[in-house]
Amino acid sequence: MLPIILLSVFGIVLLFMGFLKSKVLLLPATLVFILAALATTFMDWGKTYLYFQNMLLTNNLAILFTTIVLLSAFMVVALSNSFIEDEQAQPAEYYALLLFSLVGAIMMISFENLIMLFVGVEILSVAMYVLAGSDKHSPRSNEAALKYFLMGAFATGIMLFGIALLYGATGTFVVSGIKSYVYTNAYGVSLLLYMGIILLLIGMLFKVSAAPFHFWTPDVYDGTPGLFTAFMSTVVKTAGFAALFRVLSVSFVGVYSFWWGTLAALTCLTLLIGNVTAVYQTSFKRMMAYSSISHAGYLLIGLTALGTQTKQALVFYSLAYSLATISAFGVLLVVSRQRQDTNGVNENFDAFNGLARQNPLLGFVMAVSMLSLAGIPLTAGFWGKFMIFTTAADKGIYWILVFAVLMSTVGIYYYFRVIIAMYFREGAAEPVKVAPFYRYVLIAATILTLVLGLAPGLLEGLV
Amino acid sequence: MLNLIFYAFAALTLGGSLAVLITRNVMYSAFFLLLSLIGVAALFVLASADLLAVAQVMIYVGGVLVLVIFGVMLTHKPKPETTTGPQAARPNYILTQHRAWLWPLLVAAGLFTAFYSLISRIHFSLFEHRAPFQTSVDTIGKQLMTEYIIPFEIAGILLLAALVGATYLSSQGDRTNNQ
Amino acid sequence: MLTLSLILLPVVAATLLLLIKSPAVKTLALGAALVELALAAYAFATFKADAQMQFEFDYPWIAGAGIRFSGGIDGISVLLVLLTGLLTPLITLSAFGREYDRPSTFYSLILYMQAALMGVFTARDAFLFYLFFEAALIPVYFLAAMWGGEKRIAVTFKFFIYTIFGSLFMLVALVYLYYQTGVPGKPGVHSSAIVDFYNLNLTPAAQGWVFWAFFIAFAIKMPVFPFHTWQPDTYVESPTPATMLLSGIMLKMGVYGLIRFLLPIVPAGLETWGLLATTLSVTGIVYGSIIAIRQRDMKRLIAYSSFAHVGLMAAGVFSQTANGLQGALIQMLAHGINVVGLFFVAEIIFGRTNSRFLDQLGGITRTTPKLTVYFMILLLGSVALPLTNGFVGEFLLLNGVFAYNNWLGAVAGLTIILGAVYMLRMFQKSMFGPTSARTETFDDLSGAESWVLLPLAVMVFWIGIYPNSFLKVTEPAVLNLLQYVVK
Repeated sequence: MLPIILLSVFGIVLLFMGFLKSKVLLLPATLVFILAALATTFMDWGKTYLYFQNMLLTNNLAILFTTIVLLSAFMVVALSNSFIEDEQAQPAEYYALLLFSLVGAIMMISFENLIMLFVGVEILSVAMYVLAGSDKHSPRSNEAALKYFLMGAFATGIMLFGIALLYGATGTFVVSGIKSYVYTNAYGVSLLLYMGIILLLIGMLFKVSAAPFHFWTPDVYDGTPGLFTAFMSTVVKTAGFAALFRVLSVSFVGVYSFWWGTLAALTCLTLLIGNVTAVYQTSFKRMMAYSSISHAGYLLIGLTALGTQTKQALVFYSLAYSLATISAFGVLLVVSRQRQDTNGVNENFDAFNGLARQNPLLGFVMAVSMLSLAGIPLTAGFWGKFMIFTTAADKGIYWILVFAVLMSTVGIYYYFRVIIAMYFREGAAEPVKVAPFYRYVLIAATILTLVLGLAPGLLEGLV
Repeated sequence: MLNLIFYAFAALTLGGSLAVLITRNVMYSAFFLLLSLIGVAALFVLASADLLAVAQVMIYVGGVLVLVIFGVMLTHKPKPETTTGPQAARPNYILTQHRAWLWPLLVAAGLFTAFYSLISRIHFSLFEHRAPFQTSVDTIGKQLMTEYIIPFEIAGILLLAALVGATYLSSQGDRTNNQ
Repeated sequence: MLTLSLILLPVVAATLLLLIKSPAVKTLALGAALVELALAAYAFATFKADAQMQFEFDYPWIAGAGIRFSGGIDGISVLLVLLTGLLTPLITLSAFGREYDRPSTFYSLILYMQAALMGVFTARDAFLFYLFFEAALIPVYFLAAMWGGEKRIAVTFKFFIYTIFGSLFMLVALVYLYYQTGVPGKPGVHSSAIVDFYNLNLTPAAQGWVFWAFFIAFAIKMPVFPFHTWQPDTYVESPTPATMLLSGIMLKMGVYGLIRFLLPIVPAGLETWGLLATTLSVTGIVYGSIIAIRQRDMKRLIAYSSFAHVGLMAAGVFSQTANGLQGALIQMLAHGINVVGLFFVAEIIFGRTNSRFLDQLGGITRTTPKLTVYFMILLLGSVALPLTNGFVGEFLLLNGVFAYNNWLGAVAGLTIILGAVYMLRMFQKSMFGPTSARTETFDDLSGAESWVLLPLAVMVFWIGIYPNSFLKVTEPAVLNLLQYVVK
């Protein structure tokens, strides 16, 4: 609860600090604010606490997800150094909107009442719509914002319809109340409940870009400025899956046999579309967009095979995925700006040619993130995929496992294209300049990925 | 008697929405939408949700629809071929076309069948209840200030984010005096 | 502790090497590899010839899930530990002849590879095995793709994806087996220790598909016909040290996997599908040999010969006899020594004449008595002449295959004849006959080169003349393993 209050207040403070007309102050201030929120999150460790008459529920799992979200935000803000030096940038607005979106994300993670889920989704989404369009002079950015807004509003509407139907069926908005309804009416669950589940799922699956609700993802991720794409693809997914997990594992676990088939089919579709279309991309950013669809597919496997292992798998996978994505985007930001081609910022694979020779550090960071996203052992991403696979094996759904393994192989193909470009091709002669603080953030993320890849047991007892 | 009123307003709602789809004139569509929304507000009243009905009129009709009409009026229009004459005097006479109506019609029909078949099979527990009309303003007000205070206040953050975003996106940016 | 240091020492050394920029990095790498060799030799010398796991280490890894960081050396892995420890310094020394740019990265990749290989051969936990199995691919991929030949990018990429595709099936099988283990009465408690997998009672259907999952993973790794298409190109395009690592040690991971996993876990699956698997292996022997006879490129010829030899090793494992298994183990040691030596000779010839094509060579023996002798020793070892290491291995293997199926044994026996054909042809065309323009001035072996070839030649004779020093070490473990098979 405290992080929500703190972040809202800090967001407003940042808006006021924008009056000071000093960009130098804003970035450290934002970082301090996020750290403060992170510190207060841990105050509730070990207790399960219901706030404000069943509005919010904080338990260890919510704290872990909140930590992942705040850590991702911290890294994104830390990497925003060069971004805000542009003349057109108005960093106070960006940072304030980032903090507000974090409020929305935390609400999505620790909600107990479906209304809080809805308000959280809305706050997160509205802030994201604005940030998607923040590059005002770029038509692609405008297009991204418009597409995201239109489709997002539509999805939120569907989700709200679902929540209303759930209320109609159960008479309550509270997650545990719905659970008791489902259990007491085990043989006569109202049809409204089924409809409500489907519509709520559709709305949430849209937000996490699962197929067939993924059509907005490539254009939006591509048009948004790179920094905010990194935020979008990690924080929104983590918060979305935390929300989905809570709603499916508490309220609807009683009707698991109803929804698991549909979710399984959607999972396979997501994995297929995400992986296969990513193969054909020439732009790195678009490839990351499609690959984020495939990662939504892997996370969905954890939900389809809901069991005792699922929460650990989701936490580990989200953490590994966030670290790898943000460091990959960090390298992309710096490389695409300094190796521009005729169209301006160059986000294609060939911008990375020869990077490892000129900047061994950037090459290594990118290589580790690509290996982690591909799920190669020695990285955290491998253990994330391993844990997801064990959830499927635990439930005995082996066909999903085999399919996911096949799609993983496809994934290796496009992730390795970057590694090949960096290490085995010749590129521009001058090294890319990287600010020291930027470097430290990337190094820290890479070290964390490797440490978790070698000693996954570190996170074990926490969940 | 009450049934008659219900059918009348339902017809108003449905007729209005149908007219929105069928007219080609954008301005007429906006006004038909107005009628449709008023019909919905009346249906809310009949369902004993008076606060919702007032909110509907205020927000949708008074706010959203006015914005839609402003948007239509302020939209850039192609230059008319003649600078005088009847066309020049009616700049808001924008005509749309009905393109590709088959698939949306099929989807809509499909959705309608799906919803209808589901709703007709649901047993609504309140159907047997013949409740008298009761005002909901009091209850909603109290609940907003006690049980639902948190979402109510946090929605303020949502509004703030939307405001900040809207200002940022539509501002021209400082050309001199940069931050 | 010893095993753990066998794995960690190369990692630490490699990481330190990455930071060193001076040319002394080559000697330091060699030093580290020699220390590792000392450790491996010590482990071999003090190994007690019984069926127990020795030099164990065991730490919790993901303790709640029963996945442990545990390893040790037993009779089946001791020869491979020795092989890895022996070959790495020789491979490092062999790379001194050619100046590779970015030497610190080059040598540290070799040492990282050694660490991963040690981990594969000593892991006692299935997922730890899998981790090292995959991790071994990364250094060799970078070695091949950064310092390789012209077509290296596409070729190594194909190799990487093909191999990982196979091992992902193995991962599915391992996860399945992990979920089959359990303590009755305690749901949710599983274990991934390999020995726990041996005691599982799998249904016949499960035996079938787990067999295929393991078979595909290891068949791609070794390779076994028809999963071999990646091998010749990769071996040829890689720089020779990488090829030596691939053929000398990495392909043994596949055979080791067959012995450690496939044989004891799915014996019923082996009953059903063993004939097909053995037939594929034997087909590979003949197919590889026939193609080797037609090769003009020395490196490609040795690559195909390696493919042929590994088919025999696989067939020996599938024979489920003690002779076959003993043969496979000693042949792994022998083949590693022989093939590394042969590739080194090819590298020496290429270094002096800038050609690997047999029709451009000839008459080298006129000026190189030492090279001739070493080349002939290694070649005869590969051809399996009695008194050489190859003979011991092939004799035992053919014995095993023949006991399993007479016809297949007879066909497999062709390997000796065909092997003699292509090997002697290679020797004749490169060493004898008139000299060509390229081979007119051919210096004999330098000191460093002799130091690589001498230990190899010694090993060829040691294993050939007194194989019992190795066989007695492995025999108890082999017999212990076979009790899971003969059910």
